[in-house]
Amino acid sequence: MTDSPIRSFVEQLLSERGKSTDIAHSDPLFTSGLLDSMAATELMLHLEAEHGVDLADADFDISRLDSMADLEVFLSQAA
Amino acid sequence: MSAVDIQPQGRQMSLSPLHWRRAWLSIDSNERIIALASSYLGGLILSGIFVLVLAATTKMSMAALGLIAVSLGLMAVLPAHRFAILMVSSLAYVGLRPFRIEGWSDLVSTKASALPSVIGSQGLTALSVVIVIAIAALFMGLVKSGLGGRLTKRPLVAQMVLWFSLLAIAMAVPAGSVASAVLWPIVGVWISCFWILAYSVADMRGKDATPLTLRALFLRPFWGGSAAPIGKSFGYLNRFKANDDRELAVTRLKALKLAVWALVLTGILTVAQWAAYEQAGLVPLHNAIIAHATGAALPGVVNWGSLLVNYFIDLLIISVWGHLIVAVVRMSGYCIPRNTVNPLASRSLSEFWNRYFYYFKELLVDFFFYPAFARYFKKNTKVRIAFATFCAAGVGNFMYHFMRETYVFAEGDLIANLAIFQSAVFYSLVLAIGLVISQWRGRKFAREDGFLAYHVWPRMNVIAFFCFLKIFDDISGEGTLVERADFALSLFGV
Repeated sequence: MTDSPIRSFVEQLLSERGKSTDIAHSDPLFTSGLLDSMAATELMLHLEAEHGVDLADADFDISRLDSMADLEVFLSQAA
Repeated sequence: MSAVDIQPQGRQMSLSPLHWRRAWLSIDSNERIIALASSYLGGLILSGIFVLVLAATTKMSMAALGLIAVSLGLMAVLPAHRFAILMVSSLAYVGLRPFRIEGWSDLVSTKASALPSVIGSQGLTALSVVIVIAIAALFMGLVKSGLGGRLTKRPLVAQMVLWFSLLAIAMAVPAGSVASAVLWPIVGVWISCFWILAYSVADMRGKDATPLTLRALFLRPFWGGSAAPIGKSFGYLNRFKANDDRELAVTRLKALKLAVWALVLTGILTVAQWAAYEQAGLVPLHNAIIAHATGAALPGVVNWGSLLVNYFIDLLIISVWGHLIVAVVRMSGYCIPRNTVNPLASRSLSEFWNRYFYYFKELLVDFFFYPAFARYFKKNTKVRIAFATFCAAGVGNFMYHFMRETYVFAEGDLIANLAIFQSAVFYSLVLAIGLVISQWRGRKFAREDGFLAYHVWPRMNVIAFFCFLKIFDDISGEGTLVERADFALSLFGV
């Protein structure tokens, strides 16, 4: 998953906010405050546009996108 | 170097304050200190010092401090049973302090007079706590099983419908009746725990496997706080849980550092209040507004001074308060993020909102922003963000404060009571509009634009916005919206 497009996108979000892009697979992104809600909206827009994910699902919860590992699971379930 | 020497390793002893500051700030990465804090005796000493620092701030009641001291002491002696101690302490806390604000306590004392004296307000409150725990367990059971149908697919909406229904019934029954005496305390206890219950229910969709019964009992963590839960829920806490002795020691050292920082800020706050209110002749902003409204307006320079000082004192108050609570959470073994992080560094309104009261912002984002963003106006990104922001900073913000203060509807005229919230409606609306504009503008200035454009001008804008918005930040009903607007205009000689 090191060079995956979603990881590149998350690293871009971190870089734009002056944060280190050296994150572990399980590091929390949003619940730790590393990324804010505006970054979350950018990620959600990216997931919809690039991966065709419908976030209107009643069970959607931002904690499902909280780490690279979470994102990997989320995208595999959405595929 | 002795085992308790806090000097950075490999450096010479120095008397420089900066050197000692660096040494202090690095105690959570100093292996000797970590090893000491990991020991049984070290953990006990650390907990003792921590409680003494909390006491020195004088920001906690003796009862709250006592419960925290006992809980942390037990956690230091029995670190493997931290979760059980957290559960028991939190249950004790909800029993000792079932209401977040005094308005509810006062109301329940009044209502208890309708019941036999043998029950009293304490008996009535205890009964309400048990009923709310039962409601929480039943509600979570319905959500988990799916038996609640469509309504429980939207747990927050469902909980709001149930709570407002109970409020409406409490308002409808005769004021002096037994039904009124029983219903109002339940409404009050429930609203005190409303948002942590919302988080607990939301948690059940995630990976956290905490049993439903324990979730229902965890209505108010023993570290206290406002109705916006600091530390959110088990799922959130577990993401920051110390998993071994070393992590626990590091987390506790971070807790001590934060508590000491809160103590330093308490000193600054005390001096600031003394200088502003006892030496410089300024008054709290609320007093300046009421003086203006009652025809005894203070000089313009005093009003301006009070407005500016109020902003900085408010930042200090929220920082001290949040740091102390987060420090207790960390001392319990959960290294959660701070509630307030350098708000003066904010270069946009949305950044300030994130840095000022993180866990309240999180509540609004989790329960209002994300659900709205995920569902509505998906074809237009700007409108989508604006609507979601309005739902969070406008609707959510107002609902949070309105629901918390509904004890006022226990007596008096409905319309007159609703008028109490006029400033809060305006405040929420202006905040939402400000945040929407801030987000639409995005990051306007880059470092290359120069120090003034990048650092100074955006920060001055943020300070000015929140300084003036504070004029309307009122839920007491003292000073109408028009009177507050008149005060704001008077600052410019209008």
